[in-house]
Amino acid sequence: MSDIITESKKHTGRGSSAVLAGNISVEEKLRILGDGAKYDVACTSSGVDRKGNGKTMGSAEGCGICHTFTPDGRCISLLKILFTNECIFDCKYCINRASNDIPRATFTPDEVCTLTIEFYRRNYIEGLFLSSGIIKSPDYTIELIYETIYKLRKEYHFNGYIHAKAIPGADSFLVEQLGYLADRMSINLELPTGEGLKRLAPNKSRKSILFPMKEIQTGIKNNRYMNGMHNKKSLMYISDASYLDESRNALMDNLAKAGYGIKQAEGMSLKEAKAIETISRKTDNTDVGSYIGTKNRYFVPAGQSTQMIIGATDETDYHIINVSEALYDNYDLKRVFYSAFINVNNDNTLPSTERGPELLREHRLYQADWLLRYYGFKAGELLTEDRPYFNKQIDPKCDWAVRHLGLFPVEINRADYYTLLRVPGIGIKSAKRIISARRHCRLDFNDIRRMGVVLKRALYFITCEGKMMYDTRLEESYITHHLIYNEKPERLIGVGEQITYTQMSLFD
Amino acid sequence: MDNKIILVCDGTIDGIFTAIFDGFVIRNKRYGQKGERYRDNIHICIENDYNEELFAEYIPIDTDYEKSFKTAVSIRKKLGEEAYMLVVRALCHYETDRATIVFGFLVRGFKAGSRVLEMLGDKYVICAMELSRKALNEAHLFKGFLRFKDIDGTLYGVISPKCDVIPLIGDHFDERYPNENWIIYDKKRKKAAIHKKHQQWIIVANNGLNGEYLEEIYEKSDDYTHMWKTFYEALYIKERKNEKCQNNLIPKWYRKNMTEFQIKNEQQS
Repeated sequence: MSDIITESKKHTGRGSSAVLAGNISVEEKLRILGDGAKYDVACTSSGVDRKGNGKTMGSAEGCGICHTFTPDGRCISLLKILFTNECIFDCKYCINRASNDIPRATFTPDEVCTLTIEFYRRNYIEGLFLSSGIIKSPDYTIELIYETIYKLRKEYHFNGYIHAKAIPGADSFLVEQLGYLADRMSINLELPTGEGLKRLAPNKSRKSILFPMKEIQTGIKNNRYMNGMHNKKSLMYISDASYLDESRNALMDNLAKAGYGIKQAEGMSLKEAKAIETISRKTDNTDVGSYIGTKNRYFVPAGQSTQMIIGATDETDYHIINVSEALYDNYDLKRVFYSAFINVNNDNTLPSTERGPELLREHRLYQADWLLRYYGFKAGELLTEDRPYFNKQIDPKCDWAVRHLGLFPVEINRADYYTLLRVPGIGIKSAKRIISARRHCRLDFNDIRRMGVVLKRALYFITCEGKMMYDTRLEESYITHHLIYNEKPERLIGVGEQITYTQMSLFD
Repeated sequence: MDNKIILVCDGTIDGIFTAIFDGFVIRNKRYGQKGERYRDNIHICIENDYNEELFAEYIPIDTDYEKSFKTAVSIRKKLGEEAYMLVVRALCHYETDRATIVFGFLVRGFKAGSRVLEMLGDKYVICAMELSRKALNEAHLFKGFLRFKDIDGTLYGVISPKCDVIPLIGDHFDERYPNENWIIYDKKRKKAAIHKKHQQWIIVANNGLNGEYLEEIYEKSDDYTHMWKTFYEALYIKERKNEKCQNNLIPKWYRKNMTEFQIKNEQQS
């Protein structure tokens, strides 16, 4: 522990904060480094289903488990901390930037491991989310992270969820090795455009972020072929065919053709990793085959994610979802997170957020993100260059529907799955339920309400047995108005069974 | 007109399975031969948890493990494992009519086979599914919201759930902590799941369980209680405050036994 801190002291040269770092308790460190990590959005523990091994502690659930929620309504499922908040970078939006005078602290690998294990035992968390400021150099930082996670897996025998941050600009060999130990990896895109990044994060470049992202993607892809796991895009479809043997053979063939030896890795200690790295550097043989995990250990099984800051630069929503779409299509990301910009440093070159962060905008982006990932929408369908922002008043799916009324109404008892998915108020679950239930009987509005269809949105767009629920008009302004004010159509136009009359009293 | 027949059993899963068994015997006897249509007039109620009705025939049911076992086997055989799990989960729900709904579900199930799971247009089927789903959802939340305290090397957890979640979450914790001694105690139902290192976990109810002692022990705090609270508070972003959202995601009744919320209360008072 002490040598890391003294090194950091030398390195930063800021006496006050470094001295503080020398004497503080683990609890104080936890406070400082938890506080430093909180602006990172991703705290999901989903994407990997791993049974316990019956011997050591830990398992992971595919759907993820939230352990608690903070008063800002965000879930805590991982011990989300920075390894250190010392940082040589000076990104304008970041609370931990080098020019800020804040208390600094650095964990030791053992402290992080013990905290994770003890928190995990008490069922406080699903696992560890380890990020870090850049201490000394990106390579040095990734070594510390690697060492910690290696220790946690191999010495503390922790079998729970680990989300590791890859450090932009760090040695790609260690990033790859980290992939065998972690469940999810992420590299933050930070800002939607390269220009913005240049302006606000002068030490980072678009290339240093996208390169490791591509590397991890290659690893995940090979691993998926190897083990017959399906692509996240197949979540959209009802059934996914198992193509295990076929895909594995195809991969082996391809690698053999390209002249790569097949090597399976399970994660090695820092020392081993470095030794191998030196050898491969010398012989100039980057061994793609080693990207394949073993049966016990997949390469980044929960996929990779990234994060963008919204509202620090002046990109439009249209621009942002196009970037997301490109990330999903070209980099095969599991999730893109959006973080409404908060001007934590009161930097006057950045927009002020005195009136609060743009939470509604962030919310609309997440809604659109879901439409891209699960509902088969394309970014160009939701927004165009002429309409570059989301409607503040109704959600993106409703917004799309009222602009495409020619496709509606949809008949519940006949429409196919993908058509049903496009109806506002019908989600993946209810669409699947409708498909399976209507094989047995005709469905009416009460049936589909019980299946989870949100009728207050869906009723304008659907028919059951050729009838609409109420006498509503298929008209853009009419439906938009009702969706915004959430008025009951029967109350407004006087149809339906809800109207009651009261006896007039003479004594009022 | 069909008379209402009400079978009264104890609330355990064995009691309800026995009642289901007897319910089918009665149904087959009275409706099987005559070709008369059965109109869902057999109800199953749980002792001390129902309102007496005037024009109904009451039949008390004694829990019979053999009958209960037979019921379980035939559900599994004829409807499949998925439907069986659905029935078990639905019976973990706190709804007073749960046994009646499950009986209705099984009446349809034994006619249609495992296809019954797709018959969402039917009232009993969708209700049974709904109960099962709700119980499962609550169990899922408690997988996250349960807090253990390490007292002398044993992990103690106390919960007061609405549904009977202990049978539904035991496996999860068994898998997660194979090398720990742990106890999860349900304050409301006075039952507990107990796990000894590397052994099968068991459910202990009523007798043989000193609930007060467990609750008392759970009042203590351990070395990491305060640490966790510190971390919890560090993660809160004040600019984004949204308590309504928090209340939606973790309604207040869940917070009763949760470390991070308890300590807060202590400080306030």
